[in-house]
Amino acid sequence: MTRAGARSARADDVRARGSMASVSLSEAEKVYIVHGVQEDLRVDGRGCEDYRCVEVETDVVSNTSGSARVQLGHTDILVGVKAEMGTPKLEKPNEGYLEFFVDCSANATPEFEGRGGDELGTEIANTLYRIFSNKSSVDLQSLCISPREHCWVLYVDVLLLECGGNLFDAISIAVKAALFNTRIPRVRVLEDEEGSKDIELSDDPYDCIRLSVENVPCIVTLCKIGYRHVVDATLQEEACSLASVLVSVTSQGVVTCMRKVGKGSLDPESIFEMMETSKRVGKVLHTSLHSILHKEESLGPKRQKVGFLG
Amino acid sequence: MAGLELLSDQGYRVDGRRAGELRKIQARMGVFSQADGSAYIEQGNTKALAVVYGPHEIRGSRSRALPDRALVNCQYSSATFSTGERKRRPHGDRKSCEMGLQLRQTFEAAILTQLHPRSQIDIYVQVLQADGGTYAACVNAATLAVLDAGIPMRDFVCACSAGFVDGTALADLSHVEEAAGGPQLALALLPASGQIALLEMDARLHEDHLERVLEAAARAARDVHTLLDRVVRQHVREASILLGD
Repeated sequence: MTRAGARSARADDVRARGSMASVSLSEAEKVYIVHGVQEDLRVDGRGCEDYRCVEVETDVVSNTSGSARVQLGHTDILVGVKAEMGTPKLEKPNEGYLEFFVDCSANATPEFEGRGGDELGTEIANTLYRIFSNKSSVDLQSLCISPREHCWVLYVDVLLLECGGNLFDAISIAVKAALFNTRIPRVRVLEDEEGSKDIELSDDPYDCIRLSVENVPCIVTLCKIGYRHVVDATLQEEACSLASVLVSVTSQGVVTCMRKVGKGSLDPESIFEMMETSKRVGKVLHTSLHSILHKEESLGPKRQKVGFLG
Repeated sequence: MAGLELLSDQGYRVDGRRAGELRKIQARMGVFSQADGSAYIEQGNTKALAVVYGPHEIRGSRSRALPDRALVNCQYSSATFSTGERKRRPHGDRKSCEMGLQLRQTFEAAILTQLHPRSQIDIYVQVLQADGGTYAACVNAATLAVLDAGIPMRDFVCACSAGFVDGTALADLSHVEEAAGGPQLALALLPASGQIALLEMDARLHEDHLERVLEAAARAARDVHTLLDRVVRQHVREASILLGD
């Protein structure tokens, strides 16, 4: 079994997943990581289903409707949500909508300079569109102001500052935290005698509507290394894995979207196993995220904001 | 913006500062561990991050390598949520390219590039929140990041903006003051020698007033230097404590 594991490790490419930040590993290091994972012991001492320490802080950027910063090990993500007025889409006249944009900044790695980060950015944005296309994720009808005429459009902008592995998970956590933090001003539609509508903004700047993020899913990425799979892989572990499965899980353990990425192939039993693991891990992730977000909010406006200075 | 008084009769600006007063500056070095050097600065509500990679081998075509000195490559990017109105493209537009070139010009004057021939130094600046004085914040953040990366420089590069309203020179303009349309001067200074690395001015200004505005900007840049110096010393002190010296 040892020799088969080593052979599959040698067949791997050194680059971790296409256009992401690449890390160079020697054969000995790869074998070390693969063997350790088979024994449920990873390089930093975690088990296969343990996340690294996640730091979440909301309301980091002040001229947005909502923002959040997430640090997952060496991965650093900043999400800003801006609410703007727009016209509803033709096929959904009673709903607002979300627009995602992912900017892979050159801060993460010099390869992302200029247009280098566009490919990865589009891939992540498309994944976010897919997991939010589910009707139950966000209550889009609460974003409607007047049907067929005005609605709120939430522009969710993700800024990737540092890449330390497991981007999708960190980004989904940050998006959820930013949507939790989003405050949309309350507006009233006044209709006068001629029938023309006027939109009036409330005088009180704190009078806003909040989004319910109970059903917003989080992505759990599982990387197949050898015969086992790991949650929250670092860059080095991603370089050793043949294939990964991205599963988007809600807090009730409902799977909303699933995708297999990577060059290698997986057999169906491992995919089912990975889905079960993701449901288990996802529920725990959601409960801890909810408790942190509510605890942060209970500190109120007097909370000391740390941001990048801490 | 008629009706908005940039300088009141008692000499107070829109945000309550005096004419020559800087906004509150907070900075931190070593924000990211994977980059060679990084720094974060907050000047009032303007927040900028700078990351430095290098000196390393030239990426892309080898023909760009200079035989006697290092190539300095800068990119300026501002997040889509940084301005009041959402920006469509974070970088690649004309203004970002121009800022990148200005940053490059500024740092080629300060970095001792002849110590690293045929190599490249990358400086990436990211603006997270723009409230006026973005060029100055970027230069200050980039100086700290270059120092954090251990790249030798001739001197600190400290930058500040200045304007002119009602016969008084204002230092460190905020977005409201910049949008009012008066003359704006951006200055990057090497404080020890007093040499100017970059000087840029928009709008019409009578030459009699130029010296006063320049003086205000230089004084503000020297104040920035005092603050940045303190930040660097604090960082070195913390790092040496961690090393156990």
